[in-house]
Amino acid sequence: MNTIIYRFLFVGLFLLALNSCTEPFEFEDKPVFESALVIEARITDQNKIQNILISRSFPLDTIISSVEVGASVQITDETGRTFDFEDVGNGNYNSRIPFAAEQDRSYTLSITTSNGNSYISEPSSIRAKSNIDEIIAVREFKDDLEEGVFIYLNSFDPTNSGNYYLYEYEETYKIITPLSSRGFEAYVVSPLPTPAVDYRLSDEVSAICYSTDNSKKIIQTSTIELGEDRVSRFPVRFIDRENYILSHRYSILVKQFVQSKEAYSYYKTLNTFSSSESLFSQVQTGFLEGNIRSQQNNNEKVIGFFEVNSVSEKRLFFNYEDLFPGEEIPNYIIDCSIVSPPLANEAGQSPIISLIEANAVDFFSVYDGEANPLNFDIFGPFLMTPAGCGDCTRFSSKIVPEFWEE
Amino acid sequence: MRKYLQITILIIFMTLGQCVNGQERKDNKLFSVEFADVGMQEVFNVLEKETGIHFYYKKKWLEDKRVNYVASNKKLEEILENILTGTTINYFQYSNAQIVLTENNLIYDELPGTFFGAKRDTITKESIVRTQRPIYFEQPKQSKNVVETIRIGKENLNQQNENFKISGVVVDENTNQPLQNLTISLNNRSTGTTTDINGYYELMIPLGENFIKYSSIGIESAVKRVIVYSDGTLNVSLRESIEYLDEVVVAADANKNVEEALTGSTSIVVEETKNIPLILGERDVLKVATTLPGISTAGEGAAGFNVRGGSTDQNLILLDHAVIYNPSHFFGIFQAVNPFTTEDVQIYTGGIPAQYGGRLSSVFDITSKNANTEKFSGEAAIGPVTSNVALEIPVIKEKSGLLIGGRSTYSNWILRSLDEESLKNSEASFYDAIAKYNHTINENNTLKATGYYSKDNFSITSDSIFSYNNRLFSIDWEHKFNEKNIAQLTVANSQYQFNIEYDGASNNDFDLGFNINETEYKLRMKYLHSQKHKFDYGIMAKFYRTQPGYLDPLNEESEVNSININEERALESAIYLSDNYKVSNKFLIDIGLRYSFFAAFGERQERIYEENAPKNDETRSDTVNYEKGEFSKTYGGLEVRLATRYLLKEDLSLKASYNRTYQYIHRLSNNTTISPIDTWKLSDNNIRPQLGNQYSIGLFKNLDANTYEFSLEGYYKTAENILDFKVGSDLLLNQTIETETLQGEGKSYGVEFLARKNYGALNGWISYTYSRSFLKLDSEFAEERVNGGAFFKTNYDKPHDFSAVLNYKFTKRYSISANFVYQTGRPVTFPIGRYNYNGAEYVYYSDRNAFRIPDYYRLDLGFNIEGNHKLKKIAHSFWNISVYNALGRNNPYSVFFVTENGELKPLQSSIFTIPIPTITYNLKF
Repeated sequence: MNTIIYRFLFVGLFLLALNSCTEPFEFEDKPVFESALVIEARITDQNKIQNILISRSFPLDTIISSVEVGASVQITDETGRTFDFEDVGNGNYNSRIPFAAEQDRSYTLSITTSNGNSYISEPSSIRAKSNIDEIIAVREFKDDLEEGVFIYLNSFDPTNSGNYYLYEYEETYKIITPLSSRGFEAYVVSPLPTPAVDYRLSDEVSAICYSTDNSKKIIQTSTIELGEDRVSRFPVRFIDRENYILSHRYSILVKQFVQSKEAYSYYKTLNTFSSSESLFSQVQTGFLEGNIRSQQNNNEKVIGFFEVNSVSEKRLFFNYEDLFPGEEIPNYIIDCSIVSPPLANEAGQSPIISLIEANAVDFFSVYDGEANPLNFDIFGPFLMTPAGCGDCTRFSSKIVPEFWEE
Repeated sequence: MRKYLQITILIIFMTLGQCVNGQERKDNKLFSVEFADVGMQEVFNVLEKETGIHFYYKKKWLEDKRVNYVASNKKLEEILENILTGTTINYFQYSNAQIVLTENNLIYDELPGTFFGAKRDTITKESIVRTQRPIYFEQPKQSKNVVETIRIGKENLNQQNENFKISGVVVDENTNQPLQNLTISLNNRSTGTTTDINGYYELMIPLGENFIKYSSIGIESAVKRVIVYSDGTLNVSLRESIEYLDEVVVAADANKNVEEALTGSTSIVVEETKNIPLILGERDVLKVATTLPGISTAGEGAAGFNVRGGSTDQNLILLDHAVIYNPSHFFGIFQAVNPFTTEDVQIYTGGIPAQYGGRLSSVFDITSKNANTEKFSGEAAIGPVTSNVALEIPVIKEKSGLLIGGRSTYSNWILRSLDEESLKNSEASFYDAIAKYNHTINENNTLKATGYYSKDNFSITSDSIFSYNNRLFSIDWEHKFNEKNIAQLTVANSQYQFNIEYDGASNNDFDLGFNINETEYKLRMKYLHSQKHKFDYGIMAKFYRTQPGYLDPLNEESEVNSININEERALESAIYLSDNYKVSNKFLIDIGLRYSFFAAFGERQERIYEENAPKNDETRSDTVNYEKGEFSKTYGGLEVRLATRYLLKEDLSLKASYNRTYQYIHRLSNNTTISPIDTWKLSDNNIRPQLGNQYSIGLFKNLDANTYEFSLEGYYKTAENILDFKVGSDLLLNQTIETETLQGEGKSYGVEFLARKNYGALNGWISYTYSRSFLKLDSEFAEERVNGGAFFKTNYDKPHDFSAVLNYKFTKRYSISANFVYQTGRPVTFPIGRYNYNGAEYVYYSDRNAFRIPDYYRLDLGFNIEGNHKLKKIAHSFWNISVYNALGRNNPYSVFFVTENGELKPLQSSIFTIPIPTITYNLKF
């Protein structure tokens, strides 16, 4: 609803002009870009190799992100025990040993980057035990508009000490291509000017795959205004019924973190900046201070919030049939048609070789050129289909995840 | 008559000696007469018969008066005394058989000591009780420039005063309306006075011949030759000046800028703004205000003013004593106050008189015209977007009149005829209407009542309607107890509300809105104690009721959950006393004290937060309910208003002032400008009133008989509890607004320069302001800290602000005008980088207000053609052709960012990027 108002206002501002205009803005004093350190640090009460991600911010007009290499990272608890982290590449720093954050103990993160700057967080500790009661998948309408599946979560903390929750999920879904390559792939035997292609069995090719995606949104809820610390039917995820990920079998792992008040409000504010509308809205923008500071330069902008959370997780499986029995499954992720690119054309090119080399098509079957059952004007030796339509490893993985249950 | 007088005087002097004897030999004969409603001339005929004495007089003198008098066995002297009481006629017994009557003059029976030049050696102490010097005056030479001569009072032998008090009322010859702020100067010197709101003035005039000049903007100035014999009354009616209509002059009172004690005070007379180039054909007095030093806006299409580094909610805008909350239409492109019905706007940015309060930065006191009580008249304008008409209708002749004005836009029609598909279904319209009734019950009682309503409607898509409106009423009764005590009783009610109705295809139709309503009772008293002391005192109480926000499903299908934020009520009241104390001719002090008191009262809930913790949902420790009428929180404080003026020279003064003000109501908006969905929040348990202090000093100089005015002013302001917002705060429909707001310390300072030429073919003004405005939001908690707790630029901090308004008159009918504005771009918060976090991409922002949008400048040009000035014409017409933004400068209104191909690109939106020509036809009848 707020969004609608913002739109009104914004369009309104354009309109009032009758001839108002929008055009690229040229900075007179273009902000000098200062790269800021971005720290994603959340350690939990799960005994495991803990991971911290350290990257750098990047300018507005580029899409290149960079990670921080060679930093020295440590977490120290209030008893003086230190956990060292090592750079495992791509900005990831893993603890050298598995450990779990303990209740009633505070931890401090310290980082020294390769250029010698050091950063330290405020001490953080676990606030309360997290406990998911259940997650359920329900077929429902969202805002009476789109039908789909809600993943609802229920949790209850009888001690009334959780109150601030952050959710992450990891969803895994089975993919079955609409046209199977049956394990075959087409390959180029001889290039132009004597074009020749053939097909063969391949271990790489599969018509069944499993994709796993992580949540990208900040999903939070608070029970502070309720009489008890009960999260009831909280929608962690909504999947439109048209979404192909629902087509066969779907699984979601939901993690519930208990946050501190400060971390909760940090993420909440961050979330208000995330949608593009908020740039025009009544949301007050400005730099958001986290709990990590430079030890050398008080004014240096450091992004991120070091959290120590308790976590609980629950997994759920369901099939499309369970919720939409007898109904047509969603459209596949891409339009799948059948083509038969010729081996050579009048222009002296080989469309089929070009397409194979561009990884743009998957093998479907051999085409009987004599009978030409599909009545093509021009055709080649094989029937092909756009990449991904026969072989889902083009965008997914054929490896069955360990946790997968059929 | 003049000739006759001259002769009389000559004769008298030639026969001086005889006269003395003649008087000594007066006989004591007694007469009996009886006059019952008899004309004066008849009286003297009777007396001539009875006494045998011949009276010399001019018949004209005796025309009006009728006599009721009975005398038996009285001396002639006594009879004449009685008959002539209350007239301006003196008599002189020239001989036993001749009596000369004179008008005004006494005929002296001895020459004054100064007649042949002062003889120093003969001056003795007895001269203290000397006979009054006779009054001689030169007979004016015959010339085309006839200066009317007026005689006041009757010469009196016992009169010892050197100066006499002349008072009177100045009215418009045509409308009979009192002319206020008229400058009255004496003998071409700058001493003088001005008329008050009722056109009344008092002036001390030396005995004898004087020239009194009455002048004002828009009024043909007049000089009266006044020969004064005693205290008296001089009522004057003046004609509207056609010539002056061309002038662009702000101040009505010559020398007022130098002489009054207040700094930062200006009045804008609407009529004088008509040559300033227009935008879309609308005359806009509040826009003119922004060309004055110290007053700025965020840009075009931005409503609200920032005065001397204050935020837009710190201005008290009054229309006929009632507060007007959103004085703009169409996001600020047009003002909501009808220029045709507006008389003037009095603006206080520096010293604020004690009678005003409740806002920190300024007062805009807008006064509507009083309707013509003599004859029906009106004014109309036809422009490209709006049309406007105002009518003045006499109700009871010379007593009361009704002013009605209405203005409406036909922009809907324009929008519909546009080719642009996205705008075709749009609607945008506004109108406003005003009615004012003024009734002069008698000399001592005046009643005025005003009603006003303005409404804006727009819809961008067919499923939404957005509207906001202002509504106000005021009744004002002025009662004059006597010459020294005047009371003004006012009751005013104002309401502002906005509303959004969304009626889409889905089940989320809603109706969202806000409203605020206030009723104020004011009693203001004036006590003109003496020349030295003038007291103002009064008491006022204001009741607020706000509905801070509601959201309701629009219809039965809608599944929108109702949100209804509890209504808030509060009382704001004040008492004040101020003394305009003239310590000496040079030194004037205006000292005022105001005590204001604020109480938030039930029925309401006050949320209590933990101490030493940031206010947010989790630190809320308790909620307390208050019953209806129960005070939940009170605030109060003494406000000092001190202004002083010291005249260094007659036309050069130095002024200093100090101001302290409380503000109990806050606008919730994190936009720089006023946006129609801003709401107002009353102070309560968690939101404290704002407090401001201003120190200012100024030098004011007039040159060349006030043709040129210069002023240089400096100020320093501090403020407490300035309201701002946490990073990430969202204000609309927020039920716990205190968790989103921060209150901090404000600081601003500046220097303002104004040079103005009031008269001549070229007139206008230039103003330059250098000013800074800062805010500090510090706390031990990160979420309540902005920019690390250091002072930062407010989003209306614009160091350089230059304006020029110039008008050049070729002839009486043709003139051109130009208007140039330059301002430093306002500070903004920009995203400065991006980063990946939690698998998604975010932007991060600079410190609050770390950047500026580009500087703003704009040139407007106007060409004005007056209809011809035949006096007998039924209506006066006036054409205005103007070009807004003649340079076609693309001034960014806002800068925002959009993601395009993975890159975040800055875009700017501008409102008027090309020159906008406008032609308007005005008609006055």
